[in-house]
Amino acid sequence: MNMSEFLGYPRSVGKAGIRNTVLILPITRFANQVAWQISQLVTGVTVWQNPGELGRHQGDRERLRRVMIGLASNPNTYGIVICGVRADFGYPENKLNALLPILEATGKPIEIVMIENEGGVHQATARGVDMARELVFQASQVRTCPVPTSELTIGLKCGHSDATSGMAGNPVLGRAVDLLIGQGGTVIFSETTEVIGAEHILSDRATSSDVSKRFLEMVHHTEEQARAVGQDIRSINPIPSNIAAGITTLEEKSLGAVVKTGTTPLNGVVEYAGIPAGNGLWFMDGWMSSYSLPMSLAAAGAQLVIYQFGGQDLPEGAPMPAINTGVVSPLFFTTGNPNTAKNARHGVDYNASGVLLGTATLEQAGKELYERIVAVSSGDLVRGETLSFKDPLEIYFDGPVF
Amino acid sequence: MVKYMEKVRGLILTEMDNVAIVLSNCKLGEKIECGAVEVTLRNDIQFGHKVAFKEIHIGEPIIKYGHPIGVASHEITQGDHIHVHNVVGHSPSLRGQEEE
Repeated sequence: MNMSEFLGYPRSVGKAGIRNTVLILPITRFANQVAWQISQLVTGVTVWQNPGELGRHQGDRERLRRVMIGLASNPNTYGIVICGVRADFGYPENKLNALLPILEATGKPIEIVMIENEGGVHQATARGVDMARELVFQASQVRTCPVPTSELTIGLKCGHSDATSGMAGNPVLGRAVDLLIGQGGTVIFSETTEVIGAEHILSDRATSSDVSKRFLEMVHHTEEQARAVGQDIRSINPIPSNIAAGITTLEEKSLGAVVKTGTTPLNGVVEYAGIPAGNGLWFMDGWMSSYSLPMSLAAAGAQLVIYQFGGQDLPEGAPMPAINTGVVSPLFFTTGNPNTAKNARHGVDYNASGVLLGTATLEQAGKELYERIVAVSSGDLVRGETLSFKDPLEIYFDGPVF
Repeated sequence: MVKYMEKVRGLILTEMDNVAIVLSNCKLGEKIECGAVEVTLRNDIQFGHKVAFKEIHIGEPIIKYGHPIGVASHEITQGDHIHVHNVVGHSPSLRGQEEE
């Protein structure tokens, strides 16, 4: 298997996609119904639902704007059907005329349906269905071709951590990350609260003092937010169940999480849903929720999101911690826990537990995981993509609301 | 959990580490392999917990994942369980806890 290329969908601007979807994008909450109905009548589309902009301060409206622009410009998006009320509706930064020049710069086909212009919700739905069908038809004419893996951006998430996370799941993921970055690819990690205790390790890996400073500012901002509600993150971690599981100090806990970032330098940091300006390893300020982070990483340009989970506490016949929350980007599950790999076998995309079973070294498992990443990038489905269900999504707003 | 892990192996994550992770629930006196070293356990040690495979003196760093996770607060002998009773967090990142 060629590890330096995948079969991707070429785009006129930017990186190739690993999927080829038409995004139905309501730019105001008033257009959610239209967008949803279009998605129920047309195959080959992905719908996103707008959480609403009213009563949010400017910083949070800009977060919303970055999510919309990011999902629309993700390489997996072939084209976009923008659904709205009218061109000049809403706050300035999220009006159609503010978003459109940026979306047009992506080079992607764009259709626009406005409820007022069509004479109502149902008329707008009918028009939008025609538009979406046409874009899906056009999208089917794009042929995949060999693309260097340097065009891949993957996002990282870990969760349901247990004793296996730091010794198997995350170290294996870290090795796959090193392989991808060695090929010139891009990797984005996040979960600001979960680097606390290991921030010095990551800031030491920063390629410049500016990157280090911005990274630490993001971490400290999160700590300050916790203090503002009377909590000290450092005084409650590690929690008693971590200690019972053998985690002795906060550094140990956070190191177990950040080991998934591999060993390469930290090239840069981006704000929430910001798109990295280069390749290599990047940090994005973000919320760890599995209902939020995969979408946010997709908005930052990740064509694929890897979720490494321990999962020892999941119930028998485990439901997965998140289903299809990457919107336009597949959500790939890996675990280093042999029990979880068996219990959640209908949802696990790569089983890294061979490291604990003695059947694989970290290097072997890391290479296998990397090969699965390339295979999924070339069209193999992740398990979640065989389900039509999608969990609801939450944007990481800074708050408060007014 | 699994046959291989029932052979009671100690997993060393990086070459820099001075602790191994125990892969099954082990009893005092059991012998386990930690890399090339055979270690006789001086405590009962549960799955996922750490064991010393070499001596670690007071004030020396405990290295896991290739990084210090704390320092020894007591003399540590090969085969000792390494946990909150003989390790303290040491880095500035724990200042919040120390202020408590």
